[in-house]
Amino acid sequence: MAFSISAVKPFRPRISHVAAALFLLAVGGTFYLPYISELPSGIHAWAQADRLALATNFYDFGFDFFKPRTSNLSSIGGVTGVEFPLQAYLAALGGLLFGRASIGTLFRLLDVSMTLLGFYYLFRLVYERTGNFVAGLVPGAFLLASPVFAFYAGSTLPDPFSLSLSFVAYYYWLRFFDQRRFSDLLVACALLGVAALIKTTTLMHLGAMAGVTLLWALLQPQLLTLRQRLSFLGLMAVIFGVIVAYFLRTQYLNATYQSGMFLATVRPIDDPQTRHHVLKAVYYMWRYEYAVSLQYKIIILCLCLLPLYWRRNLKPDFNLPLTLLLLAVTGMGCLFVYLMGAQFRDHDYYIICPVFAPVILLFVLALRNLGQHTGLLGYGIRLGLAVLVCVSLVNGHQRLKRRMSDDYPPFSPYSHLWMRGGAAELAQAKVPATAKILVFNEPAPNIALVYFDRRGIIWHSPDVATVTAENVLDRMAADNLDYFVVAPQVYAQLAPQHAVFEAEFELVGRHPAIVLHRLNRSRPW
Amino acid sequence: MVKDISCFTLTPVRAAAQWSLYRSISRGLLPFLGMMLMGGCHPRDEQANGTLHLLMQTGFEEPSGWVSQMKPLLTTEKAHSGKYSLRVDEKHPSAVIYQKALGALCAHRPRQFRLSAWVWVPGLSNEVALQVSVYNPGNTQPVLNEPLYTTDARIFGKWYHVSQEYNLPNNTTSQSQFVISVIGEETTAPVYVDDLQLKERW
Repeated sequence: MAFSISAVKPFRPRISHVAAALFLLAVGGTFYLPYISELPSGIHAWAQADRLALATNFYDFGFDFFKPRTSNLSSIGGVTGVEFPLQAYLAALGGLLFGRASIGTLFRLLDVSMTLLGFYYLFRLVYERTGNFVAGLVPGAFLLASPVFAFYAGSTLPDPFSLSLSFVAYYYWLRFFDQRRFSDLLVACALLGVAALIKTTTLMHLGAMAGVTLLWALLQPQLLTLRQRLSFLGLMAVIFGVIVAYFLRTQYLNATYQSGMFLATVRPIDDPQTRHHVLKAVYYMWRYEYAVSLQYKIIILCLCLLPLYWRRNLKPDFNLPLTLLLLAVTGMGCLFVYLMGAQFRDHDYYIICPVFAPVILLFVLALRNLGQHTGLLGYGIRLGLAVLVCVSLVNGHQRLKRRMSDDYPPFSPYSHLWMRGGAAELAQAKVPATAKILVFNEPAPNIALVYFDRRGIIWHSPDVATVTAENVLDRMAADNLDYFVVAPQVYAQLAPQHAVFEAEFELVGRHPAIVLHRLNRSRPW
Repeated sequence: MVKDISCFTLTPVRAAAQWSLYRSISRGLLPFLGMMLMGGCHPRDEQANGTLHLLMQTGFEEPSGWVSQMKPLLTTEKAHSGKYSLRVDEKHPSAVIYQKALGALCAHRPRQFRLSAWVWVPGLSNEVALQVSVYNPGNTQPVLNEPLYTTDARIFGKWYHVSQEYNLPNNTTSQSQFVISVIGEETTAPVYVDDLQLKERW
């Protein structure tokens, strides 16, 4: 079907939309239902556990949205500054309905739901412009083929959630240009504002969108009336004000409660050594986690199509808004990489918001150009895209399965596997839910506390053999901790201290952790 | 009267829920209100939740348990509440007014204290500070020594509230001495201090 502006009509649910929604639901179910109830696992379980801990602590501590806590008491009361923890809060609220034990499941479900919603709006972005059903399904399938995106979309991290929400915003923003309905622009701004609160990186996309809108309004004054301009600027001012206020609140919490758990500063690459390590990590470790080989080829193809369809891409009532947004978001992505480059060495998920956004916009642009072809070429393109959808989904599913497994070299073996069953062990040992634990020799601040479902302190010693039972007792007295939790193999390394441990503690659990109850509560700290 | 309170005072569940609700309303979070109402009934552990716990408070009415250096400073000339307050003047420019082992204040190593008081300062030149110090055993050099200035608010001739938070170093022990002093070496006119309060954020 050839495109005409009159083809863009206000949305009414049609069979195609329903079919797409059902298809995406089926895909989402197939991808994520097997893992929906898992505790944080796989790569960066550390960051996932931090977010899940926010949710359980919202539930446990009266749902104070502006005073988020994790289970780690290295900050005062576990309070910490963190990007707008909307997902954690909603998951915790879900716990009121379905029980505390369901918070982890609800958290993953929430993220998957937002991802699928984002896919649905990507479908609409393409389908409502081209009428090509298959082309509309490609962006979602393309994203699921990315090991990084598919993995974190079903986790507790805010990155895919924020990116998916921004897809919804992009839809309304582009619809504003198609239909000139001002409310669409406001909806887009509001959605991107929420997405930027959830993940600050998306603030750049909001800036890009606002910048393009203002530029357009400057060059084409009839785009917005004076009242609409003032409303738009007012809304933007409110959104940026809220984001700045929340950022200041985060800084205040970190300073007051002595927390540094969630990064709240820029981390540029500021020396040649760091640059070397980042480039090496990206090339050897993360490159094929970000995307598979086929996806890189498709991105190159889309880049080639960009000048090929330059007339359509630069036509004001056709793809120009999308082209400008793509350029602006790409520029913002580069700025982010410059500001946070050092983080790319260890964190694969940092790629999601700054880079996947322009890639998907590029992809959508290509699909909107390709999808409008008719005749034999159109059928050929449809067939090719259908194959691409199938290949992407099959590959993505297989890769997700591998990445969710315990055996995923070189990232496995994971250090948290021994903790499985920890909460059940403590429950069986009748350790009170309010008891605070000292987890020995773990680096991550919340993984063990999530797996054992208790609050406490993590003590990571670079040299286990030098740690004495007296050190442990002193530490537990200082922080008023009740139970000492340690992996059996680590406890074995403390063999010379076992006699003191047996005298000062009561053994209440052996598997998966050695759990020791401190007997002398009056020990001076 | 002097009131020493254990670090493990449990706040009633209903109070926690009401406080949560009050904060929600006061911050204009109407969209969350319904959800907060549902969620206000699940405090799990009130012992280490990052709130302020009262450790000590006094209006200097019954100075039992207070260090003897403080007694000459007691006066009935002015008081923010009750009958007594402390008067710092040229004759008594400084004194230790509170001293206690940290272990007697808290059953764990404290991270942060907040000291607050009501002060009456006649003018800018009458600088008086409430000095908070922590001494480790056998060491005359304090590991914490920070003043709370009373003139920075530029409010003179009436009672006003001053407060400051202190991050305690992590090398303290239960035997470390926590000391509050008043220091007014340059004051020429009397400065009054009343209703001292020490809280711990835990």
